[in-house]
Amino acid sequence: MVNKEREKVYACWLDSISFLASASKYKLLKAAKTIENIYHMPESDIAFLIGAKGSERIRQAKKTQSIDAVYETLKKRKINYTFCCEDDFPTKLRKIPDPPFGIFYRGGLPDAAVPAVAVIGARKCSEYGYCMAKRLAGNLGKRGVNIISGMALGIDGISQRAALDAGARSYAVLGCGVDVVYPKSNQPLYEKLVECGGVLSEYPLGTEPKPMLFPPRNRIISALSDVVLVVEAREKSGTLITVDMALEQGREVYVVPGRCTDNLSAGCNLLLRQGASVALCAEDITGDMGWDICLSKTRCEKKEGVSSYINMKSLTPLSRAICGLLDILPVAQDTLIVLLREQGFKETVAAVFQELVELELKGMIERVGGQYKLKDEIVLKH
Amino acid sequence: MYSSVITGAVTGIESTLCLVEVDVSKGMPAFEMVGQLGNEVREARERVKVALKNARVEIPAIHLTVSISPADLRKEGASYDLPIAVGILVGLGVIPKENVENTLVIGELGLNGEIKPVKGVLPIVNCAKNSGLRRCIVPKENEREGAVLCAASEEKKMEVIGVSDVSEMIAYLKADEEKKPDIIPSAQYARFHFEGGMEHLPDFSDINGQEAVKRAVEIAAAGFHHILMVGPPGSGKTMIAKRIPTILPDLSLEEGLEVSTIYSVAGMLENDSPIIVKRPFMGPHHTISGQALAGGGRIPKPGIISLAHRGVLFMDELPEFRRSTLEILRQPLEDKKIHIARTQGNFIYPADFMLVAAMNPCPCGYFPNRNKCTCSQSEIKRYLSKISGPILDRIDVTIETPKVDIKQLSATVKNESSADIRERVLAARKRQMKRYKDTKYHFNAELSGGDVNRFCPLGIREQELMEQIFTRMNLSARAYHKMIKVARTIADLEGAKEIGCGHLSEAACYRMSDSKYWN
Repeated sequence: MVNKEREKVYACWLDSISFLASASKYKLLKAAKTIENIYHMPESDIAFLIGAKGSERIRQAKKTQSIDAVYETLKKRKINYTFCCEDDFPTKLRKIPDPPFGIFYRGGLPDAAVPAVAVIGARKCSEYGYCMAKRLAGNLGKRGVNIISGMALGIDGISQRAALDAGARSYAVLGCGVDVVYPKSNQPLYEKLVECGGVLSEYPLGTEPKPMLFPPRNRIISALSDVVLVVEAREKSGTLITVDMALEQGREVYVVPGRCTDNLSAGCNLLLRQGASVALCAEDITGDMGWDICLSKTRCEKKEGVSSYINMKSLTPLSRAICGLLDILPVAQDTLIVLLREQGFKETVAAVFQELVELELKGMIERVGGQYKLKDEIVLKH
Repeated sequence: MYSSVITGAVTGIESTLCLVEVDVSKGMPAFEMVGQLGNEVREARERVKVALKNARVEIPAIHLTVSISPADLRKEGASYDLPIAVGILVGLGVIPKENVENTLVIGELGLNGEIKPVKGVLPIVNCAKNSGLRRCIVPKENEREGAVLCAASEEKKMEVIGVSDVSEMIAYLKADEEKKPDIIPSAQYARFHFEGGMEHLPDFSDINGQEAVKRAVEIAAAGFHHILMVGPPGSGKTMIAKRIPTILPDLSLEEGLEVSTIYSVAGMLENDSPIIVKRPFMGPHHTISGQALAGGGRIPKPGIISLAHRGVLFMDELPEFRRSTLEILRQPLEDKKIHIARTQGNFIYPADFMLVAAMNPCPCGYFPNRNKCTCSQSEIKRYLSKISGPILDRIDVTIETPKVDIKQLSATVKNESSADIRERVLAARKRQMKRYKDTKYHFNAELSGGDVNRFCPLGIREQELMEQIFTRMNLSARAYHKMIKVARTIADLEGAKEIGCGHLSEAACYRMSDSKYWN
């Protein structure tokens, strides 16, 4: 009988070796049966199995790192670890090509029984992407769906924040060590994720973010989820790489459509053209996947009709025109005035400005920088 | 024989009268000069000797001692050549002593005896006039600059004589009082173009569309608020800024003299326009050094901010300026003057300008248009954080200048001219002057802290609206006061006595956005 606790310590040690591919680890495990055996395996055998480079790394690690040190640090820093031989290793991860060998995590691991959606997209997203990610992730969260993403800037962070705000659980898979917060500005999100969800990484502790580490972590993001939802992506982007991986793993891909002229929607529209499903709202996904039934205890509240407190009829013709002209994308005051003039409004600049502030106070429009846009709730009334 | 001649010295823009004393006595032939003299003044010895020789004045082998008092003031520049020469001439008995009494002499000498122009004639002549001198002898090229003051008021009679070479000057000074006007008539400069003269300046009627920006600029000009324009490249920020001087009120005579004095000290007065009649417009390039902006050098010369005194300081691409350079603006924006300390002494230059700043929303200039802008959020953040809070604190009006589309550019509509806008600005300024009579303030923008509440009281309804705006828009206390000040100016433009709700909500549109960038 293999000592499970002892195996974990050894696995932890093995997983803390940088730049050792998980496939090599699986190969070694297959040959050695237990990880303890890997540790005691002769160097020549290791080199035979995984090549000289890998064996050199293991040799180095044997010299520099004692077996228990890594595990002790993990315990001290309240970081959890699981690997492929453990029972709590996510089943979804076992079934993919090139599965990770072990996972370091803070917080928890996603519950396989709960449906999970990976929301991915551009880091430099537009106002539209911001709005759509927030809304879709928020509504999915309200229905009890787990949101999985990469805690990056842009779509990733926005959707995870929205899900957490909606009371859902959210999990982030990092492209660096699980104890490294990248980008730094997401520190608050990181802490919240640890509390209501989890932060996962297959990389050893303290690994600094590097471009080459991100594509492999994307396979974990898609693997952990049932559906991959693309919000905004350029034609050549990491997001599309993730989609390829998701398809390889047999995950459903949903895409938020955009305008043909927007660079940031080019990738999305390309996916649609190739046959991806369209996601206009959260129900599109939950309905298609048949989750509505299993999520019987949905915390979905009846949507508060924003339209109820804004009676379009009570507005002046000028305000109505302004609301008609404004969009989800911010418009500068000056552009707005030009457009109003085209419609034949002769009001002074002062009058238009006063109207703008009034609408802002009513909560219909909001200011982004010096420009105005309709509030997200107003645009997405349905 | 002992003689003395009056001349002047400029420190900063202040000028003082100096006395050049010359003693001619028998003894070892020598030419001694004392009185804390700078290098240029020391070199005057050679210039004076040769110039006098070439003007056919024989200097015998004598012991010459020249002292320039006050002795504790450091003398710089070449303007002491001529008074030293005159002192020697009087000492030698070529010119009668009485003829140089009550006369100020200033000028640089060439070796051939010609008299060259010098800097700072305007403040020195002004000082001479205030001290009650009767005559100023200045280089020919500076005569109109000097004459400006004689024409300005007639009660104190003083004449300014422009001389071009030493022989001519000797002839003039030797002559009897009655014959003098025949030799060189006193300089006249009576033409003041304080009114009009804007024809050749760019006009606001050239700008199609951009109504919101024009309105913001009008408000800024009326209340002397500093303004910041944010927009993509090519949206007309520079074009609008260049036209701002045309809607500012004309310079008054006092203001004109103030500005001219600065330019005179900087040596930037043109011979044919000896007094500045138009509001200056200074648009330094963003590579400018702190010294050039604030004023600098061993003997500090006025910097760009002083040259923009009573006018517009336009800072295009604000975040591209060096941070340290921008920080220099803090004191002038607060005190309306700049204090420069050097070993030679302290220099104070006035710097009361309207700051017009322009910037792009991000390094590439197109944010939030994500089709064009590829800047990352940290890049944008870094770009914006180059402008420190204290500078932004002093900017009351912010406006976005969007890209202008072709339809507007090609439209042939009649736009409001600068003159129309200026009229409204003038009316608003008059109202402010009346309100701030007997206070230290001139314009709404200057109000601070408690005085905002004193001069801009709000009614109950307005107070309620303000509270609503304050909570809804998440304003800081600073933004609150700024908004009230701008609302006051809007009310002044309209001619309203009290600040109304409309004024407040318009002012809210010009507030600085603190939360431009989400995560």
